Formats: sequence, structure tokens, C-alpha cells
Amino acid sequence: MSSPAIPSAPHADIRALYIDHHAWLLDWLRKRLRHGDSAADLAHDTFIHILGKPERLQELRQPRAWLSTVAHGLLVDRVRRQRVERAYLQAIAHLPQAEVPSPESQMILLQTLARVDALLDGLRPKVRMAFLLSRLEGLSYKEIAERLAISLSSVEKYMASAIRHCYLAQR
Amino acid sequence: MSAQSLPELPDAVLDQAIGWLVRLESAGANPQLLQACQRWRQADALHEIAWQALHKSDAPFQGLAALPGTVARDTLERLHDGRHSRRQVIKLLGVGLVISGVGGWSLGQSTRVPWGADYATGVGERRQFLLDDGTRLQLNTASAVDVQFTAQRRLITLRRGEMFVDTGKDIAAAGGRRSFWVSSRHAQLQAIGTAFAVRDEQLGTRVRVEDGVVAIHGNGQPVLIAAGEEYLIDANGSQRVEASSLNASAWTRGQLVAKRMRLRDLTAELARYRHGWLHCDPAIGQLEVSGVFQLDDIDRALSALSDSLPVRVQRFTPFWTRVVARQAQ
Repeated sequence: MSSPAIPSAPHADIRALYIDHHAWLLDWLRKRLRHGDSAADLAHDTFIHILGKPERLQELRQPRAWLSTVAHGLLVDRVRRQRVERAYLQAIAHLPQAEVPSPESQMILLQTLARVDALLDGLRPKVRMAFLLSRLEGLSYKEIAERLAISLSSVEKYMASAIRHCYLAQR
Repeated sequence: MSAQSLPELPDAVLDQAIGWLVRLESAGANPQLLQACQRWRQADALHEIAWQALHKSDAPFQGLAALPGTVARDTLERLHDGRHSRRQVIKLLGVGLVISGVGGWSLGQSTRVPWGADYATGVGERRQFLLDDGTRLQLNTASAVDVQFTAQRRLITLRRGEMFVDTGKDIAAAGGRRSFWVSSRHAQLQAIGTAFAVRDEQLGTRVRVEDGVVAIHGNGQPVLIAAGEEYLIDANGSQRVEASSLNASAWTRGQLVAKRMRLRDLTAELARYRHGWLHCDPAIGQLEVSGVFQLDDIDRALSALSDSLPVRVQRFTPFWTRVVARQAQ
């Protein structure tokens, strides 16, 4: 893994931040996680994340509040990723080996699945189903109408509502 | 979370773009329709922006095209069901119900209206207005206000219902920034660079400040409400509300957020957003409910109640609904 190029001044700040608060953050995470290893990982990830935002360091008044906010976000992400991964592994369990996507592409796919899952949240079940059949399985509106035993105009209405929902969710 | 967010578009343009996309997808390759769509895109730069943005919003789905067969849909259904079963657990714990969802209500577009006019919403309607001083005014269901701006002061009178005000900077005023007042049946409020919700209730006026400070003027010293605080003002004076069971500004996001709210109060609250009678059987009125409900679908919110509490929704006609205790099975 290559480290990002950052100016040296923030680097010194990060160093100070790390020395002052790393132990505290680790402790904070340990209280929230069962495994000490993942606490160490997450603490590490938190500082990596902060390295990517040197501009925020200048205005930092309450470093621990900030660190714990970033760490909490990463924690939530991790739980979400694990859920997605579990669901995905179940879904591909019955695929012939040749059809299983490569491990390299898996990470991007999992990210995309998590994102799509979040986008769809709040859609009515029928709307969601119609939209997924169209976008993921390439069914035509007519085929969707037949599959769901609804009228073509209902499919159009559902699609419009789902497209709108997904647009607004990404705004 | 998304890598780059999509542009805010006027609702009307977004809806037109979606209309074209859906028509084209529904009709298959239809040259005439394609040409008509092309003309629409060329008619206005904003149309083309909307069209491009709409396609961009589809990108996450295209990213899943590499997955064979029904894997993508299976995964998403499993995730969805997983969330559902978590709700079941919450329900068993007696915590109440949690319905997550992204509010479908867009605040993207504001309607600019001249001074001196009255603004109002019907039952179930929520609207946002941009006033000439830059103030954003949002009205909740069945609400009405008068706006009177003079050279000295800005005044909004809440006639009925509920509003959310985000005061503008009043840059254009000749004599500098004018004072900003809200008047209701029970209260005279002065806003000091602020965002706050005001609600007219039978027994008083409820005020919740999200940002800045609001002063309650009455007999004697004004009472100052700081951000995050909520007050109830009636004929006898003003009183701080410590733990409200209803989030006072969630409606501006199209949601009703209840925390340990009595079912009786929740149904009364939901009833504000729909026509007809919605009545709660007193026998179950004290049940406590916590949850997030989407205001755009009150019937779904009612169904959710019956999923999670020992209650049943009786619909006699579309206009007469009762929430009653479920019979022991």
C-alpha cells in the first residue's frame, strides 16, 4: 500500500495527534468491540482516514470528539460491510465455481451492493421489486408487468417513483 | 456516502426527465419518441443537465451487471429481509417499532411568492416558500400564515397549524436588517438570526429552536429559547418542555419521529395528515410507541402499528378508521 503524499506540516500534526490520543481511541474502540484486533485495525483506519483530510487538522479543537466520530462512522461501515458480505456469500453459495466473481472484483461489488441497498431503503416492496427486475435483470416493462401480474401503467408508475427515490437519495 | 452527489434540480424538471426516461424504456426503441425526447433535452440547458444526472444516478446498478443471474437481487433481498427480522427482534423486546427509510419529500424547490400574500397548505400537504428577505418558510399539513413585511419589521402570523422558519439575512432592506417577529394565538416571538418551528395547538403554542435564539415576549422580561430547547406558551405564561415525545421539526424532512409516544397521541398526530376520522380505542391509548413514520404514506404507518403492537386497524370506509385492540388468538 502506498502512502498518500501530504504536506509535512499536517504530518507533524498527525504525529502529535497520534501520540496524544491513539491509546485513548484504542480503549474507546475496545469498549465497543469484542475483538481487540479489530479495535487496533479500526484505530489504525481512523488515523489513515484523518491523513486524507489534513485541512481539518488546522481547525481541530476537540480532537477526541472528532476521532471518536470518525471511528464510529468506520465502525458502522464495517458492520454494514459484514452484513453485505454475509448476504452476498449466501447468494453465491449455489453458483457453479466458474461463475463466481473473482476475489479482486468482489470488494467493489460488495461496496456497490451496500450502496444500492442503502439507496433502495424506504421503497415500497412492489416498487422495489419492479425496479430491481428492470435494473438488475434487464427485464422489459412488459415482462415485469407479466411477472408481477400488474398493468403496464403500474410498472411505469413504479419505475418513475423508484428512479426518483434513487435520484433524491444520491443528491 | 456517494462518491459525488447529484445536482439539486427543480422538481418539475426532474419529473419531466423521469417521465421521458420511463416512456422511452417502456416503449422500447421508438424513433419518434427518441426524437421528441431529444428536442426536450435541447430546449433548455437544465433539461440536458437533468437528463445526464438521471443517467448518472443509475450508475450503481450498472456496477452490479457483472454479477451472474439473480445474485445481485438475491443479496439485496437477503439484506432487506435481514433488516426486517431485526425489526421483529426489536418488536419482541417491546421497544416499539423502527421503520427506516429515506424521506421521499423533496425540499429542493422553493416557490417564490410576493409579500403580503397569505400562504396555506391543505390536509396532508407540506410546502416550502422563499420570502423576499431570504427567509425559508415551510408549512406543515393544514397550516396557514400571513406575511407582513414593512420598512421596520418582518412579521409572520401563524393562523393555524405548524411552520418552520429559517430566517433570511434581509440583505436588500434599505435601513439594514429588520427585526423578525412571529405572532400566534398565544405568543409573540422575536427571532434572532435563527431556525425554529412554531406550532399552534389547542392549549398553547409550541416553539422549538434548532439554531440561534428566539425571545418570547409577554408580561415582564422576555424568555430566551436557545437552540435545542422547546417551550410551550399559553395564557398563563411559558414553560420549558423537557422530554417531548414528538420531534418538533422532523416533519420538515417528511417524517414523524416519535419517542415513547402514547398511541392515543400518535394517532391524533397521524390524523392531522389525512382526511377523515382516525380514532384510537381508549383501551389501548396508553401503549407506548417509538418509531419513524413517513408522512407521505400514513396508511403504511398505520399498518406498521398493527405489525408491531397488539392492535388492529379497522377501516370502515376510506374516511373512517379505528385503531383497536387485537383479539387474543
